[in-house]
Amino acid sequence: MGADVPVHGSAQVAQKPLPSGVAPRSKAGLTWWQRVGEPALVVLCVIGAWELLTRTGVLPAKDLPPATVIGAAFIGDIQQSRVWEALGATLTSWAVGLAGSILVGIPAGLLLGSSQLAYRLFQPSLEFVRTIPSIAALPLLILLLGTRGYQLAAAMTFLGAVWPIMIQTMYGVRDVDPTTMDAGRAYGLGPFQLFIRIVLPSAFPYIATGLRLGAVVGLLLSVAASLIAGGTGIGFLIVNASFSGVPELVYARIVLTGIVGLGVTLTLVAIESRLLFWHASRRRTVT
Amino acid sequence: MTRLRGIAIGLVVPIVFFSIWWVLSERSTSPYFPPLRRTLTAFVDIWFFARFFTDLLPSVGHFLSGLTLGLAAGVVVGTLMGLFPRFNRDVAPMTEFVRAIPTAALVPLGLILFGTGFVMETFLISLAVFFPILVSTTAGVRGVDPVYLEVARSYGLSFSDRLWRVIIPAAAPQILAGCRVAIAFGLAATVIANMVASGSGLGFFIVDAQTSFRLPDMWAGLIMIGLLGYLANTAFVVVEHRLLGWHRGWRGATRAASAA
Amino acid sequence: MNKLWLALMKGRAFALGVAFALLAAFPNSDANADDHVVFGTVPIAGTAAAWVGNEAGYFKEAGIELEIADAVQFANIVADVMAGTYQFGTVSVGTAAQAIIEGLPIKIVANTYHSAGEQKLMVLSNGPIKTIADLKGKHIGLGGLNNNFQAGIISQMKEAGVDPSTVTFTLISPPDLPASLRNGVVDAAQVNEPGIVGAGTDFTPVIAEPFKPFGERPCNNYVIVRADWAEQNPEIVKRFLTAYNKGAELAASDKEAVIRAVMSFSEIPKETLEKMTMPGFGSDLRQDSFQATIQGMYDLGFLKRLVTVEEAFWSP
Repeated sequence: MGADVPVHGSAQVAQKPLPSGVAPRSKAGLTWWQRVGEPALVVLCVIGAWELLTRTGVLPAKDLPPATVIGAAFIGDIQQSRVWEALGATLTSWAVGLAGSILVGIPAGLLLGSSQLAYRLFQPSLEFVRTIPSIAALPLLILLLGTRGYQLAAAMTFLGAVWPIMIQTMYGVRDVDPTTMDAGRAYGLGPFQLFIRIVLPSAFPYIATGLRLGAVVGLLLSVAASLIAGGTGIGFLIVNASFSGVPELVYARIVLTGIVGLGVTLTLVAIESRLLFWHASRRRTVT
Repeated sequence: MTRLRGIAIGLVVPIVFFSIWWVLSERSTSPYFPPLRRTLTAFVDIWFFARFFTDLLPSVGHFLSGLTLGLAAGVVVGTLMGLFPRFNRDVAPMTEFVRAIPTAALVPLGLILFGTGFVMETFLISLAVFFPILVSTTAGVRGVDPVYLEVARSYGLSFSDRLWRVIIPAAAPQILAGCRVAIAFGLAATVIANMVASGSGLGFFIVDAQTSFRLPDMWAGLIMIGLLGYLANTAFVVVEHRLLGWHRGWRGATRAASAA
Repeated sequence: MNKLWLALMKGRAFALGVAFALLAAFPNSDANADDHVVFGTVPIAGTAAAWVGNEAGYFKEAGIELEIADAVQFANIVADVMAGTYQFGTVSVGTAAQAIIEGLPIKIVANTYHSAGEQKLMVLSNGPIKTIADLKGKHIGLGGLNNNFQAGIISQMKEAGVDPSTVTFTLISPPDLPASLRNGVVDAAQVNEPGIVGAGTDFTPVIAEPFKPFGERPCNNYVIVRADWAEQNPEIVKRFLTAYNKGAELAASDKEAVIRAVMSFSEIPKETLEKMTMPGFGSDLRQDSFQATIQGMYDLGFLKRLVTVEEAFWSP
């Protein structure tokens, strides 16, 4: 995804005007075939290749079912309410965990970004904590929370999402252009006004990116929690199909998980570029 | 001097954290929260002696080979996706789709294709590493200032010169930033690959300790994961300094990217 | 013991923070007259007794509103029972023993299922391994390590003159074992139902009765509670057991009821279920097989010490 710029929406890019003569890439310049047709054809080719490899016995069809068999299982499966309930449970835990990480991450990030002392105290530790994979906490969280209900997946989402959001907010606040701040002060803005009018708008692209990163990682972890430990989510349904010895259903549900993840990512990217249309870094990177 | 002071200040939080942990856990009778003293004893006993060669070293080896492979693949494909918007549009649905599937769900596939052991774990780890690198490389290459490209073209640089001298260096900060994200993903995959299909390794050790309720051992395993992440990250910071000291946009990019 | 739980609860509150206060309110909100009880299982046929009893209405009769929750691993069920998110849970005999040895206050209250041929060590029918003796130097995939299954097959291998130290054991998640065997990842594998039916004639058992050293149809899985909870709520435990054991008896005599129950929580097709070897159900606690199994695991060094019947089983 071209629009999936991890974090580079930094202030320095934003201040640079677009070079004249280079047309911004935009959706409008593409035909339907370029935007949808050709990518769809690629997807079909991949599915076709899978079908061929399994039907000809290059891959063991009994354990890796052909695409058409998975497709049939998929269509049968999505007509059942248990799949939607499980998806609902996964997305609910995800939303709760994400809300928690926003409530904690943004204020903490603002604080760490605005205070030089706090930044220097905490930044190295944050860099350390960030490299510990959240999944490592799963055994501990299972002991603490058990596997029933929403708690475990929500806690995993929280753990995955809170760091990107916090750290991104922190760097966003720190990257506010000092000249703009000086100008603001010269215009007689108080600390609160400076915060609302300069710091927040300037850090906003960072925060938005942190939210998107956190949301995507959080969803992966929310699914992984029920996949590894159990509970009510879509991950458990994958395990259940697997325990039942029905591989086509296992892969149908994995495909469903992938599609949901894809949908969430695309939605978040779309929201982000909508919200940041005024921001130059976006204008250049939106596909 | 300022650098040393910076490090000293950065150490305050971990020292305070571990002291509080030590004091609070010292009298703990909860089996889930053993005294830190016991955890550290277990840590030393396990990782310095018995399990170093059987569990730790193989896992580190798998991690490094998976990281290397995933990195190489991610940079190559990401550069292609960044250079050719048409290619990007065509494969993005597939890459985004696979990226949204948790590694744990792909273990059975790896198992059937590659059996247990080195190849399967390297495959899963490199797959997990591949996506963050892919995304950041694509973004880095796409984000190269068109003015640079125009200038390079007008000076008559060949395509390969443009690629190696302009595009890759300009995208380097983002690629390296992606690497740091990838470390966490790769470590997670190392643990997961070995949680579900193996009889040794760091992930197996943690799960085995958890499922047989040897909780100080489990804590020792968790601390080891943290330590590995820290070491890998530190190594990358050193590489970044070396490679990118010259780069103007570097500071901003690393900072920003550390968030992911 | 109370202190411990107080400490744990404090730890929990601290760890959860503001964000999960919302969630904590969820589970305890029903003001029903019946006691709400959560029973944790993994989605295998062996856990059918609770479902059968629930479908027959035995729990309602006993004034218990039963919720059956899904887990993936037995050890996680212990964690849930300890955390109080489950009141009852089903765990394997080895997991129960490990937990007790490590000082977790759990007690066994009922039999979940006993072995009746639903788990076997299998090899490829057209492969080179024909007898136990052929397992020498081979690669064996198991659904769990250092458990009763491994203890049972090692003991039978020793009897057949195979040195177990020549054999490599690899942990593979149980549902992936048939595929691993079929694709040559391992030379022999623990295959559980529905994998045995699913494999058809591809596989043959090399050790058909892995648990034989522990007696006739030894009990593999038990229902556990947390000791202090059971002490405070002996009435609920007794009513639960009345209903549960009635369900287990019904499951033992009525295969159709078991099939219906399994279909309600799993995706196993009906044809497969009808052909499947069901695990054995019953209300007998089988303390003899518990002791034999623990002894067997201890002899191989899988357990740090023996566990006595007195410390393992609940007595009101």
